[in-house]
Amino acid sequence: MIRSVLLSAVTAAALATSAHAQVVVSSKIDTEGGVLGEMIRAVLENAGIETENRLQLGGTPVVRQALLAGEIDIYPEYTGNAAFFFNRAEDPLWKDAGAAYAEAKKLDQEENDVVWLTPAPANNTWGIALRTDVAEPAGVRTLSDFGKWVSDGGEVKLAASSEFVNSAPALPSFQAAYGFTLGADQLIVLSGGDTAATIQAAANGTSGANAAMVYGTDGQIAFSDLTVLEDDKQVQPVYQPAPVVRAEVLAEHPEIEGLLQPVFEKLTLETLQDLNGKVQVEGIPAADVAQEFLTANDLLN
Amino acid sequence: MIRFESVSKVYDGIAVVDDVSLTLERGTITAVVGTSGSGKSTLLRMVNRLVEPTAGRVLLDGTDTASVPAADLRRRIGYVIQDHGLFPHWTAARNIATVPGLLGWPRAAIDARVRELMLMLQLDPDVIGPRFPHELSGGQAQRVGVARALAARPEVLLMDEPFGALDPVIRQQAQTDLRKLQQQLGTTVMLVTHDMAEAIRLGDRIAVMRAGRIDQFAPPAEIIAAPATGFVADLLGEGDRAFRYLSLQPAARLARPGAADGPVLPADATMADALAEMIWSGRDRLPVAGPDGHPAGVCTRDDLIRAGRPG
Amino acid sequence: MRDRMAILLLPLAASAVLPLAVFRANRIAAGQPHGLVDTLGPGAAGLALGALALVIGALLALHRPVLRVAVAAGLLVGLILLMGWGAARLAADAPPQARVGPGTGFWIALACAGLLVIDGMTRLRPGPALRLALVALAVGAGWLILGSGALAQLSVLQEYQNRSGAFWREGAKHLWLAFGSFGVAMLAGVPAGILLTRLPRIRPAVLNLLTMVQTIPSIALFGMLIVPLGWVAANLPGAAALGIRGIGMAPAFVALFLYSLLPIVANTVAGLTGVPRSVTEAADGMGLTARQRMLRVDIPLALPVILTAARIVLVQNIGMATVGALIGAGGFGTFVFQGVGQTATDLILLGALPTVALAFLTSAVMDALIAMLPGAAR
Repeated sequence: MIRSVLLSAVTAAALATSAHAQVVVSSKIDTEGGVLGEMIRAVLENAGIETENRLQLGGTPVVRQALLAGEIDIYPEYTGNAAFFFNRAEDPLWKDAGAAYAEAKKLDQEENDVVWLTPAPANNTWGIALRTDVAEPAGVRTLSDFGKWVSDGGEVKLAASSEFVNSAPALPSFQAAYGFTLGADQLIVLSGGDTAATIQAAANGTSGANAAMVYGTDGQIAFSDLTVLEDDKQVQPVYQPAPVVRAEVLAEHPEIEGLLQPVFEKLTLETLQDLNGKVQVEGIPAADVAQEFLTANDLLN
Repeated sequence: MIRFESVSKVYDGIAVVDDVSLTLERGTITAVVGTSGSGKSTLLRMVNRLVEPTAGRVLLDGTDTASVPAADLRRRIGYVIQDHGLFPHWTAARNIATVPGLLGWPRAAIDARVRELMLMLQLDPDVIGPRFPHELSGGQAQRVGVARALAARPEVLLMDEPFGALDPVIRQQAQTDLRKLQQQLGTTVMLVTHDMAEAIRLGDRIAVMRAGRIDQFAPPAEIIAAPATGFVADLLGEGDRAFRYLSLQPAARLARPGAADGPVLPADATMADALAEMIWSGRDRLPVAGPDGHPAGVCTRDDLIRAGRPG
Repeated sequence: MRDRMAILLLPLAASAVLPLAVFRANRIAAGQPHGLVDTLGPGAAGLALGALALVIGALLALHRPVLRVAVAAGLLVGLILLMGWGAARLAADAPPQARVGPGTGFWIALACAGLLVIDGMTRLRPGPALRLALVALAVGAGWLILGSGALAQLSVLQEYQNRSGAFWREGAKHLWLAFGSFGVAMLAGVPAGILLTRLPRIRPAVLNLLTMVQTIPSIALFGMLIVPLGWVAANLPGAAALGIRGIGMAPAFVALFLYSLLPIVANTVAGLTGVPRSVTEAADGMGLTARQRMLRVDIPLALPVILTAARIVLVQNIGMATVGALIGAGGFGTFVFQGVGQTATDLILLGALPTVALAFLTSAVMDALIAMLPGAAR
């Protein structure tokens, strides 16, 4: 009896998944993946393209493998990650937004028949955020400003993970490029700390912290009155989110490219912070946040 | 009747049972005695084919056991083992009903048979029947094991150290009960034991085994009177021989006309019992009861001592 | 005996002065503790304190375990309802993104009440049938309380309300993963165990292999299965149609199946070889055929050991199925990992609490079933 139950369940599952040649939309399991994935899904559905929802599938390797295996058709990926997909993390090219996107697009097209569509302008990379009530009066907007301000005796206390403080591509490369040095008394090292903890410390002024290690589009930033400083000398690789789609599927639905371009072009750093924050901080479901954004910007008709 | 014809069992080139020929008469108890490793259990287990002979054959009432499917053969043969081997997940009653159930008896017949056997073995069917083996005493479990072996009215009962797990007091009673039960049912019993006293007490005939061979096959009195080998004599134990011999003979056989003082010796007392009573009560003549329970004569010390030596 | 209980009454009384609730401006903000009076208002706080004193007094005065369990269970239910009421009160005049969760005082009182119930139950020693009935009663009570909406303003249930559809969908996937893989493992593992008892020569090799599988970290095993299953899906006609894919349910299902095999096979072997020799000897000697012996004697006697493995496997599977969310298998783990990503503790709890409850229930039911086997009380 158990056997027959198993069989029928397996058959039912099979019927459910193989009924149509739907476009399988996926994403990573993180907050931003959820929001961007829901946007892609809503836009495609709105244009009459049937989709299958496999959002928040797993971590980067899982989603990437699923795409290459043809199990999913489209998902949002970061340009900077292509450096790791193709084992070229050392190349300085990834620090330039335009070049990084072009290279990722070229490599993936040639090797995997996968197309990178128009990326968002937002750059979700490792960075430094300063309390807005400190940054504004001091006129600090970029990391160059920050370096000058710190060197001129600006009072700073940065909350960061020990990995951020110690690993060469992180704080040390910022200090070298922007000409400032943070002493031990200007750092609060949270061992094993993540951005949630560092942002919280800066926002609450815990132990005098007024700056934090962040990821550019962290949802908490918008709710914490922090300003992410622009990496104007391009020290960090650029991580712009872009829809990545299998060429075969794009050939079948060529309109996808034009449908998603205006959506992603609208996604600035602040917009993504805001959208992520709605999900992460306010607990609104990602689908609702995506829908609201698309409607408000007239991206659905 | 069980008949072994030149039966051998060889394991890895070693003959555990070595060319044994033996006939066990119908309706008797044959005790097979030997030390561990003598091959006595292997010999027993060749009857119900738990062990297949390497050479020779075993006949059961003239039929070669090898010609009968093993399961059918075993259902016709009662089997009792040392740790009783009761199924722990079945009640005592269900354990007893095992073989009738395998034979497809009707439910009512099985129930009646279980009841009958339990009463015969002094087990209260309503109290003991529904109990699980772990709720039984050692003696009760042993009797349930015997009842289970007898359930389908087998003509042959194989017993492998059936009293080995019982303490001495219960063991003696169990031995007496078995003797009575066997006389009542007329079952042919083959009993394996390492205990010569038990063999003497129960066996109509005793087979003494050593290293896979039969040293001597004879009635107990003959074994005691004339041990065929030094090994048989060793098993008997030098010092105990006279008492063992006396314990085989009823005291009533020595009764001669006359009268004596003191308590009367019961009719079923052995000569060993009589001697013990004389020593303990300080008498040299005892009145002996006849079959009706009244004194039928006297037994004297001189007669007893003479009777303690064969020949 | 009474000392053990008195030790629990002290923290129970102390919990009244600890924060009952934690208020957060949004779901990931730092929490502000709220005491009994803050949370409930002076009137209700007074009533609650009085009730607590009454309960402590009753526990000191009553000696029959049945009564003590009843009082402690009442305390447990009362605490939970009180928490729900307090949360609603705090949430009433706060913005919609604000969250109210239980505070340390609540947790301590809850733990004390729980321990008192467990302590009383161990003294009562209920039979397996009664235990099953009590489990059903607890599930029913939990269902009623959750369904009544009395706890709707608690932060975890706010998370639930935002994704109630997904919750039941993922729950169904979780059950299918944990119990489905267990079922298949039983169908394969028990016969394999029976076979291995007859092939003692290859037994160590097979068991060692299964032990090795067991030591692979779950996420690694999930990952390792993506490639071969993806290949099967792409190259074996009909495989994809059967739902076999490299990502999603299939690798998680297969991984859980593989993890389940060792306990089931090993315990089947142990159970069967553990049948006393005298019993198998008697069974053979009475003329049971090999098949009859297996079905009527060997398997029934090995069953407690096999069911113990089943219990271990089920609890293990229920827990491990959460990791499946990382490869797209769904299940309650989806909420756990999304919650980790968003640093939203309540979302993590939304995944973790039903998982723990499910494991606990399964374990209790399996224990009762094992105790109900005939002749089991040895």
